[in-house]
Amino acid sequence: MTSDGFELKSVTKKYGETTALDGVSFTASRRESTAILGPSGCGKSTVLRLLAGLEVPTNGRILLDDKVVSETGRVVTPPHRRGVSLVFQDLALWPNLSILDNVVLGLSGLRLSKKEAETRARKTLTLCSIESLADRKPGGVSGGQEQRAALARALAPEPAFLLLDEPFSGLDLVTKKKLLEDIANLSSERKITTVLVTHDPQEARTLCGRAIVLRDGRLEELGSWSDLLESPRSDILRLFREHLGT
Amino acid sequence: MPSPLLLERPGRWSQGAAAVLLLLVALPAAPLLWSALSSLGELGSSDSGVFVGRAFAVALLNSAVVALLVAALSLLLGLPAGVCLALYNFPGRRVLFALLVFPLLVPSFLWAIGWSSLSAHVGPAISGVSGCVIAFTSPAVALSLLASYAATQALTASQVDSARIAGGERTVIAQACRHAAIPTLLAASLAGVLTLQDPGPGQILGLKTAASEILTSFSALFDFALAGRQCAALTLLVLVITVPLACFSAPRIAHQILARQTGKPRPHTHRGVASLAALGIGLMVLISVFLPLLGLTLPTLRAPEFLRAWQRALERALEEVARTGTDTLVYAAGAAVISVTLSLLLVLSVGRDPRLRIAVVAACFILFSLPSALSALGILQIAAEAPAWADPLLRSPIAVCGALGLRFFPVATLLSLRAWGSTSSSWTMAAAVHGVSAGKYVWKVILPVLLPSLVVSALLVSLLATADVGTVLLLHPPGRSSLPLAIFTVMANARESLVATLCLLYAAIAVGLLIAAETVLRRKAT
Repeated sequence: MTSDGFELKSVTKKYGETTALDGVSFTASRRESTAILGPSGCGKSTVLRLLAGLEVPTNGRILLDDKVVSETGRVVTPPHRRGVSLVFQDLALWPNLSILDNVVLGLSGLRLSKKEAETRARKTLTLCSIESLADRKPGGVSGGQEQRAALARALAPEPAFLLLDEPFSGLDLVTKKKLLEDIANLSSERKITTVLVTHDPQEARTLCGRAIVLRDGRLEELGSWSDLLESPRSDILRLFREHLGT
Repeated sequence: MPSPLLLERPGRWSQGAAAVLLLLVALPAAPLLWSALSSLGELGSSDSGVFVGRAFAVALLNSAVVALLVAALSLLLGLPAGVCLALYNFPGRRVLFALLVFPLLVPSFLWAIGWSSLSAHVGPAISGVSGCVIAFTSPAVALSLLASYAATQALTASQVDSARIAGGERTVIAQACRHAAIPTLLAASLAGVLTLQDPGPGQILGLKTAASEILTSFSALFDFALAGRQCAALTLLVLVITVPLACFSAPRIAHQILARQTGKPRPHTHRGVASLAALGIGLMVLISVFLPLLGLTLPTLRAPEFLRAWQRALERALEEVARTGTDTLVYAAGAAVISVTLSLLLVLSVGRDPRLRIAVVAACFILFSLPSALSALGILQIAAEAPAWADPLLRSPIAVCGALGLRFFPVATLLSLRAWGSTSSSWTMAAAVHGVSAGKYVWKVILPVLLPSLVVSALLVSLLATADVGTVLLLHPPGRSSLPLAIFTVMANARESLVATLCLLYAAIAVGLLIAAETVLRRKAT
């Protein structure tokens, strides 16, 4: 059977003596956005970094559309050839560059001409409603605007997968809600599959059709929201169901 | 296309690159140490008097006594002063801080001349061991004060506040002193060790020191082998002190050197403590800076026709500055470029690897404490044995720049390590995800972010290199002296007023550069 999207096969990741992921296997299909849930330190961000090709699996294989992109001890396909973009938890905007230049430099992997890159960057800034901030530096704008700048940089290369590493932590409720709606709309408009790492099931359900729950580096449960909420095994989803019930 | 992730994933290449760079810095000292060790066998005697000369053994003891006293004094004065400057606000705080740090950036012999002149005109005789201790204390206190200040600043605002709530200002000061004690002890020890290699105050204040004996062996006795052996003996003493210190403190310093995202303690206004701190620090500035500076001005002020004497001395001093200015600038700029470039390469190799970072901090501490004459004499030995075609490299200003650059490379490296610590690994990962090549990433993001720190680093190295008389004295080509060396060489024969004016001019230039560095730092902060 062939799969469209990412597939992790018995992936283990160790940092020195610490095991961040222990033999995790799952599929993140192109057809449906996936949320990765779990408490702090359960290995959520590690999964995302492995998918992006930023970390090397200690053991196991990662496939993208049935092709091995990472395997034990090596990254076969480098990050910029995987068709992924990543919005980091700390946003990772380059502080010395203007927001426009951040997006332009983010297009380096496409080898566009300077003019083409700038045109595409401006278009993406408009899409993310921050065209007026093009010449401002990341440090000189609000938290919500910074999130949008990071999103614009991630969307500009038109990736197939948008990986989001807890990008809404530290945002107020109103800004977070608006941003979630915008990401959901942009993803469906541009046919981008989102993989969201979060510890907030509410965020996850707004953006993704299915979820994976990790605990202590192991897969605890996975499935669509309706299945998961019907008989949750993990504490996080049990509590979430109780919360929804009230 | 190399990935920027290379910078975040240190491997064998980074260990290799770091080792090569550190070896390059230590390389000029190697031939001298080698020949000194081989000559030990040839002499066939274990008597240290035969190996280095009996006078040197006495001088080494003198130097060790001075170093010990200077280290103790600088710890006693620098620790509380740094803590108070970091924690309390009082009128003139920044100016007093700058004035206390200032002695670090001018040659120590300037302070010795100031004290010598002051004692000759108005006070009791200042000479010998006590004189050297007094002259060396100004720059030594500056070094320990900087360490104590930086360590206190590494405390978070909430740590300071919780100490204040728990037991008031006494607890705050006690906790801060405890926190800053080890870095300050290290800085004070370094300050003490650095006095071992400085010939200036000893020569001016009539004390035979190890460093001045090495200079005498080389310049007056023309005995290169003896100078080499003496230098090796001094290096051995330095290593005995610094290696255990470096091993003990490097892990802590490597951790503290990292920039933090937490709130720094804001200077607190507490009338009682602030007044006491202002009084104590003001007194320190008066004794360690203003009194020797007064000593420098006295010869001119006391001249029969003050204004005319001043004018004559100033004209003559300006001529000297014009004569030596270009070479001074060349040496300073060359040293800055070499040390900052090497330090940047080293920091990019080390990346965020904690073990490599500790190793580099320890190596920097040891390298910086080695006698400057070691590298200079090593280069001279290489030049003596090298073919004639190497002369334009080994017997030219390039050699001086190279020796000074390598000498102050550890200072630039520590500053660059701190600057690198302020960058985020996720910037590099973002660059990798977006297909930005390593070169483009370094050029477009890393270098601009590090630039202010590199500029400050370059300014600091150029000031320290200018103040280093020993290296220039040993290596400068004929007729290409630096300003401090010119002062050092004319001070025995020239008029007192001329020497004093030259010293004051030098101090004024150093102040100008200090203000420039402060401006850059402020811009960086905003």
